[in-house]
Amino acid sequence: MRADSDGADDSGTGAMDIEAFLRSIERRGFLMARLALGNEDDALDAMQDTMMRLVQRYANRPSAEWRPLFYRMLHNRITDTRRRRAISSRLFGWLERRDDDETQDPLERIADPAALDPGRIAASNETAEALMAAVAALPQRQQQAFMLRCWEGLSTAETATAMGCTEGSVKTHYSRAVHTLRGRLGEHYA
Amino acid sequence: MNSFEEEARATLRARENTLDGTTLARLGAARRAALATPAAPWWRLHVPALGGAALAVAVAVAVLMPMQEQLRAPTRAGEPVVEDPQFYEDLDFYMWLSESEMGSHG
Repeated sequence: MRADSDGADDSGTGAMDIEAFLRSIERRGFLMARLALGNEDDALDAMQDTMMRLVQRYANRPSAEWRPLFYRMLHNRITDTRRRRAISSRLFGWLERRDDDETQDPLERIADPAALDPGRIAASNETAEALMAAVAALPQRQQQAFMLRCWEGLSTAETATAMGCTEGSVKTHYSRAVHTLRGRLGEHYA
Repeated sequence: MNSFEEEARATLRARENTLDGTTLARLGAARRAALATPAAPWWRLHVPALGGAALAVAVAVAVLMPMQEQLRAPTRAGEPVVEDPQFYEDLDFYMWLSESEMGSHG
């Protein structure tokens, strides 16, 4: 069994126990959640909830099914958090607006990963930061498709299961995401 | 997968090894807490399905019972539908009585 300090490797779906699976996925899942939510504590909460649900509900399922199930639950949890933030922002946002007289859409002020300017970061030649910022700025579905297909390495069918949509939708979201990222990050990836 | 996607994947995966010790410790604690959680009993996993089925049965009963009553109800007010055999025996008696009285008067 791997130690905590081991790298988060890999997408092998052979038989493994649930603990080994969680070890293999926790870093990547956390980074995806942090990137999508723009907040470390929220990302940790999402990860803990998702791991608990997987253990409670699906530990007895074949280990090959865990990965898409895990990401489906994680992305549902991320979506729930975003919705709660949006509702909270609608309810209490007017208080802040009265203070600073800001007229910007509250949804745009919730998560701050998009606030990272890919252009500015690219200038500092930090490729990884620029990539993370560019991925964070993608629309939610494109972001999911890119993270699951490219980063996690799920197949189109597994990604469709994780996203709860058709394979055709996955292909569309993914190709748009790659097109956008290539356009924004071309100078980093010759 | 083209070279851009391969390079992006390599960049993102390398990023996984840059997490700080505090974050890794919190992730480990979250994992251990999850593993300490007992598996949910099978029936709890099916509570939504069972609840839905029970609700469907309740709705069906609520809808069908009045319909059944309506079918049994008289077609005209004051004209009861009688299924008791005693009623027909009594009816025969009254018809006989009526005919007897008519015979005695005639």
